[in-house]
Amino acid sequence: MRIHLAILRGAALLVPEQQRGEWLAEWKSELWHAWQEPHGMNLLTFCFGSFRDALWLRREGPVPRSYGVLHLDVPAFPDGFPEPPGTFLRSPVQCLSFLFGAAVVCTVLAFALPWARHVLMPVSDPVASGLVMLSPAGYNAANANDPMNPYPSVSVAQFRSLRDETQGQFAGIGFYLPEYMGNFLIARTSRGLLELLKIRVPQDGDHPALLLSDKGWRRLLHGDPGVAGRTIRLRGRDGPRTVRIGGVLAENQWRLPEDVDGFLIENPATLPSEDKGFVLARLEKSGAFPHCAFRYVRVASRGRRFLLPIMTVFFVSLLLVPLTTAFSAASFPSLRMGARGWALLAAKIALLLPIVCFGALDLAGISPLVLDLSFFGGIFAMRWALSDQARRCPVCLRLLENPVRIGQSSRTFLEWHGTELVCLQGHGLLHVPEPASIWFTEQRWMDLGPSWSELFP
Amino acid sequence: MTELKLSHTAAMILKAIDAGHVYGFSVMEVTGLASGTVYPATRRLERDGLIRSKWEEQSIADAGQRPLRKYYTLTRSGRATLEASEKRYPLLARLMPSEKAETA
Repeated sequence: MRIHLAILRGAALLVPEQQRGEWLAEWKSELWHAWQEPHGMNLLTFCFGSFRDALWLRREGPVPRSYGVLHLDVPAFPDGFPEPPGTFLRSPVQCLSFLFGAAVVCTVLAFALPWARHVLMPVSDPVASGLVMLSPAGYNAANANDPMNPYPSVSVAQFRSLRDETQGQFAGIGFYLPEYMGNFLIARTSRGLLELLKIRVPQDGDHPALLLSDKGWRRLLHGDPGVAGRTIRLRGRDGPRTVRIGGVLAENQWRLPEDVDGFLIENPATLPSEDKGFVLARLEKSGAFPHCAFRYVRVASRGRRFLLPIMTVFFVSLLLVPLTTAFSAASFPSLRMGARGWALLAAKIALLLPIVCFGALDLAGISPLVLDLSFFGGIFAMRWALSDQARRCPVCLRLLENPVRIGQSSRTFLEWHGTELVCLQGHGLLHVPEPASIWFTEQRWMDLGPSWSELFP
Repeated sequence: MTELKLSHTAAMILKAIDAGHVYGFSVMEVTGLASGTVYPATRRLERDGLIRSKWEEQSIADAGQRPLRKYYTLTRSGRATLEASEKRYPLLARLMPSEKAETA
């Protein structure tokens, strides 16, 4: 029944707030009776019909009140007093609480959804702990320090000399050299690297062992479950060679640079000296990095580095909104009255950051779409934050409510020429002209003095 | 008063209520219409003053150990509209004989 009630509650959000309680009570009652139905009615179909009903009410407006008494939590406003949309954001505390909740949900989802966690946490904690990727100190290519997408920067000869130079100073060190063999990208590597990544290494045999990635296994051998121990031929730069399949890695086990199809375990001495690849090492428990001509970046920081471009795009989109939209100081009465208005705006933007960035990650994972989502999400978020701010009382920062259209069409030819909103605490009125007239070019805030207080409970 | 012309579906719902199927789920059962059709239609009929709704007494629901139920009844103009609709859709009465007619 929970899912059915959740559907009804979801549909209830479409119903105007004044009627929502009664509408939901009726549907819950009907659901209860449908549930009792012995002929096995499809309750989900029944519940989805509620959306059509809710939309009808939203479009057509209220229906007459039913006779009889229904005990519901009646809203604080009397009948006929229209509630504005989004009333759950009315007070600044409610608004910030809602945003905080949304930010927490987006952040938690980013660490829970596999495609987003894949970006934020490249390898499991025990494997990533102390794991670093090395590049020569003078190496200056773009992305050289980005463990997600660096270029291969260390030659086999450099690796050998580094390994000899730092002997015993790392807890482990390994090298891999990506190379196309036919249509497949194979990482030529040593046992040391796989041990470093806590990947079980197959026994030595007559032929070099090939560990397939999940992707490579599906591409190369069409997901055949009986591949372990079989020999295949790969055509590399040095000509065809026979390799023995040692096993298949679990999906997503390899999350480091180069999306390889497999790992060919070789003696590092047989690798060509000038070819460049990647070097991974594990620092000793003290965390000290040995003195050498290499610099390092921690693999565990990859997620933070990936978030950086997303956040940059978000901030660019934030800047674009005020730069490309005509705003005047008069549009924001809440900002003219002191630091509290600014603090609220800053807090909203700060909470929108994780909502947009993690939300984009939740929706798009590592695909390029994540930057587009971040950009357009940022624009949408900034526009919302500003329009919300423009409708807040400068004194109590609550949303101004009860918009009333003003003007007389017979006199102005403009039909309604403005809207007035009121602070329900009695602090004042906001007049918003539409369109601008010679007597009202921009919106105007009017303070209501204490003499008005009797009208506001 | 101008006569309100009902669609066949609306007339069927009005007829169902007149026949004693006085709450939404019961109307669904007897007409075979989906919930997404019946409930908006009852609201439209209520808005047009052809039916009115009433929540039953809490004590009755408590005695039956069930949630409160909303009942619909025809208004005078609803009855007049139904009579006109029955002339327009002669099969309506045969599709759904009223309980009153059955007991008579």
